[in-house]
Order: sequence, then structure tokens, then C-alpha cells
Amino acid sequence: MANIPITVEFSGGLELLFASERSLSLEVAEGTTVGELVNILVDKHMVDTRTELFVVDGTVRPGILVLINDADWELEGEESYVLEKKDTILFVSTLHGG
Amino acid sequence: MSDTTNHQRIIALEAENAALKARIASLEARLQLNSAPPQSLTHTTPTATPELSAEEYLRYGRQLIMPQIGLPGQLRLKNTRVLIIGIGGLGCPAASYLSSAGVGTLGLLDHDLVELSNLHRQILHTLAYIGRPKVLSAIDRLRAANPNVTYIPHITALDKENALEIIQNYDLVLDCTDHPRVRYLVSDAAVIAGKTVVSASALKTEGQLVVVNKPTSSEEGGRGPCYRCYWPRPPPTESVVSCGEGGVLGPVVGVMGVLQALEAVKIISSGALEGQRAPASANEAAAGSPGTEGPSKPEPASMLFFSSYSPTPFKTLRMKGRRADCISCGTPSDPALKITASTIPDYDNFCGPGPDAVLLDPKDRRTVMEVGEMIGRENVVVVDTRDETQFGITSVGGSRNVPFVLWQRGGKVPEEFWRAVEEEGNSADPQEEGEKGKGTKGKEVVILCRRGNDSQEAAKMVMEDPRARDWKVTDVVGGIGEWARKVGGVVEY
Ligand SMILES: [Zn+2]
Repeated sequence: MANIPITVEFSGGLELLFASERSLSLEVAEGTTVGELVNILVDKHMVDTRTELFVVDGTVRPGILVLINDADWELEGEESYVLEKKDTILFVSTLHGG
Repeated sequence: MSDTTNHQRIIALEAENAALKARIASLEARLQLNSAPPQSLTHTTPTATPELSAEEYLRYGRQLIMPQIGLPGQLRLKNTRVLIIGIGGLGCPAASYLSSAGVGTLGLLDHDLVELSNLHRQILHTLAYIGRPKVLSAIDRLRAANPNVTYIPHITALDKENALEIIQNYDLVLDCTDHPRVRYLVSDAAVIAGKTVVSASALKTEGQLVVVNKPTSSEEGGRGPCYRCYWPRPPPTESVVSCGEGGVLGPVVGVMGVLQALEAVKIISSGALEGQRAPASANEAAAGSPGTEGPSKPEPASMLFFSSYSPTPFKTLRMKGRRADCISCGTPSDPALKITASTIPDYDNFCGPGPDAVLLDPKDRRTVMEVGEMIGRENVVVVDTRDETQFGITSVGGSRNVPFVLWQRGGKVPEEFWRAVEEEGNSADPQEEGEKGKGTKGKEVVILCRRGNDSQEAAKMVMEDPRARDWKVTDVVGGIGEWARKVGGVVEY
């Protein structure tokens, strides 16, 4: 199966879990869902061992929004959304400072 | 009396005075509310309002002539009561612009006192106010620029006991707080009171802004999502980072505060708040309120996201909107979960243990004075777990830097630590497990961090590692901050 290029972005401090990389260019197999992408990120790209800061009970933890091309993933079918070529998946965590 | 007691007495009196003034203002406001005729929804220009003074026409002239504002918009600003919760990095610029724009009544709520480390971003406060309430400092500056505004000080922390009572007295709320606990509280109370909240936050180089419980015709019930709709479940304690720990750039939080003021001006001057009622009558609003220009345009829920170091710093994220089963603004499947005035949750549950965790046995912790005297001894190694940036600002002579992130990353003692200890006391080789002795015995590794929290976690990891079984492992109570205050030779920041 062919691979497709996508971009993954982290912000709100989540980049610290991924070796301070704010943006990753990845190739994923065609048909990969966002849910599967989350697992790929944990398995292959997360450098921090505290996976609970990213994933809890098999999905992204409370306080993290997942945006598919700048739209809340809940508008796009959440974990079941099938990635398309050149999609940008942004993970944002809540900020609290003020 | 000493200067300090005098000073404290003055602060107490000021606070008392401010509280009394606030009480008077709130009573007067209630009186006004009771005597004012019910506002008609069919008028875009409030009828029973005083016109502007000649000074006000001049003062507001540059915004008055814009079609988005005009006389109706300016009068709406004048007749609106805005509560700003948190007079810090967001609240200072937000209050400045709302005061300057001619909002009639500004309530300012904060329990904090001004500190020197606030001044790089909290632009209303001055040196003269260090150690005194932020609210009074801010009002002093605001009044100097615009005395037309009625300023109401609330020198108190917002809690579930007072939130509803305070918020009820205002038309619009700006959430400029710095903790998720308060953000949920503000939103829950505002939903019950039927008020709109402009909520923003910032950390390091980024910021977020959402409008909460906004009058809109595109959602059932006439209101946009609440804070819980955006963030249904609070984040785990360990993921909550404050400006004090994570740092924040002044202009970043400033941009967010200014955007809050802008959003507030847009909401107020458009008339969107007119006819704002408690949720009981929210359905009427959904049916459409003829005559008001505000809540008629359908607007999808969105979040403004500012990432100042990104090549595309501003993004508008498309959000899901109201959750029908939201426990605050919706109808939860279990009705008992619905948050009401008497069941506003206890938000302390969110924040877990306070910042001063105690992981180590007191006998494994040292004071800065003790370690200060041990420095330079051959068998003592000091390892500093602050990040490189902070280590570069100030450090204890001879200490070695092994940033805490390395410890977290591997979930174990990082190689960098063993290397640092080895290089420092090169007589010891922790890997020669069979051949202990030779300077290994009697060695002490002291772990230091900023405040004495991370150092405990790191020390614990080392203690549990067999490679360190012959060492004494300790950490420093109070960290580098305490060191600066008691021992010296490093700076406090
Ligand atoms: Zn809600």
C-alpha cells in the first residue's frame, strides 16, 4: 500500500514530549486513521516515557485538542477519521497562564 | 510599630476600604437595577441613557466616528458593566483598553499583591505599588487616564461561595485568571448567571482565546459553548504549568489581553448583550430577538490560537460547539450531574497536591546552609536539574547540570547524570559494581533544582538505582531560590 505525506504539529507544551519538535513530516500508510496515528506517535516519536501525559485509556488525554486541518476532530469523526494526503494534524494542550 | 507592621496595617486598611466601596457600589447598582424600567428589546439605542458629555465626544471621537461603534455603540459601552477577573498579564492590557474605550463600569478582581517579577508583563503596576493589592494599583493608573469610568475593586479570590454573587452584578466577564480551577468556576457561574465570558490564557510563546456562553442564534438555547464544552474534562495536575514555572513573554500575554478587550468591545458595541437573560428565558432568545443586531448572525464556535514563534502565528480553530449533554450548559443524561447555583463543584479537586510535594524522608533532605558549607569538599557532587536556560542564568559554583527533562524522558536516572558524577569525583566509578570502595564510599550526591520539587523526584530515582547504593543521596530544600536568599553567590529570579 502506498504511503501518504502528512504533517503533525505539537503546541502548548506538548512538543516537550516529542524532543521539542513542533512539527513532524511523516509518511503513513494509506488508510491510516487518526486513532492509529496517535499510537504511531507514542510508539515511534514520543521521547518522554510518561505516555500518560499524551494518552490515557487509549485516547489522547483530557486537556488536549486534536485538530484536523484546523478543525476539531470531533467534527471529522474523531479517531476514525482516515488521513488524507497533506493533512495537518495539530495537537494543542490547554494553556492556563495569564 | 515597625515599618513592616505599619505597611501591613496600611494594606489591610486599603483592602477594607476597597471592600466597603465595592459593597456600596454593588448596593447602588442593585438599587439602580430595581428602579430602572425594564429595557425594551426593540430599541437598538438604549432609551433611558444619559447622552455623552462634551468631553466624552472629544475623548472617544476617534472610535465614535467608526461605523462599527457610532453613538449607539459608545452608549452601549457606557452602559455596560464589565468584570475583569485577574489583574495580571492579561487583565492589565484588557483593563487599559476597556477603560480607555469608555466602558461605564469596570470591576477588577484579584487577591494578589504586586511583585517585582510581575512588572515585565503586568503593565499597569508600578514600583510604588509593590507589596500592595494589584487591584488598587491598576485602578490608580486607570483612573489617571479615564476618571469617567466607575471602578469597583474586588480584593478577593474568586471561590464557589462568592462567584455567583459577584458575577451577577455585571453584564460581561473577562476571564484573565491563571489556573484551570478558576476557569471552570468562572464559566460555571457565568452559565448560571446568564453572562458571556471572554476567556484567554497564555504561556511561554503561545496564547488561546475563546468566547464562552456567547449569545448566538446558531446554537440551540441561544448560547454558544461554555468552557466545559471546549474542555470537558480538566487536565491532570502534572500537566498544568504556570507562568512562574514555564515562563511567559510579556508581549505574548499582552496580545491575548488586548484581543480580549477587542472581543469585549465588539460584543458590547454590537448590542449582542442586550436582552441577555438568565438561562430560564434563553429559549426566547433562540427564537430570535427582533431589533437587536447582536445575536442574529450565526457564528460557528471557534478558538483563536496564537503561536508567536510560528511562521503562521494566528489560527482560528473550528470547534464543535455546544455539547448537548454538557453538565454546565446542556442537559446531562443523568440530571443529577447538572451544575446549579447550589452544586457548583469544589474546584480544589482539580489541582491535587500543592506545589510543595514531599517525596523524601526529611533525613535525606538538606538545608541550603548545610550544603553551602559542604561545597568544595572532594567527595561532594552537586547536580542541578534545572533546564539549561535557567542554569545559564545562575548556578552554584562547581555544580553540574543534568536537566530534569532528561530524567522524565527515560523514566530513569539519565546517563548524563552518571557521567557528570564520574567526571566530578573521578575516583568513583559507579559501574564497577564488584569493586566498591576506592572513594565511592562516603560520596554524597546533592541534587538541586529551582524550588526543591524536581530535586526530590530525581534524588528518589538515584536512591532506587543500585549503581548508587554506596552513596549518600540528598536534595536541597527550597532549591536555588532558597540558596539565593540564605547563602548567596547566586541570583534570585
Ligand atoms: Zn457547556
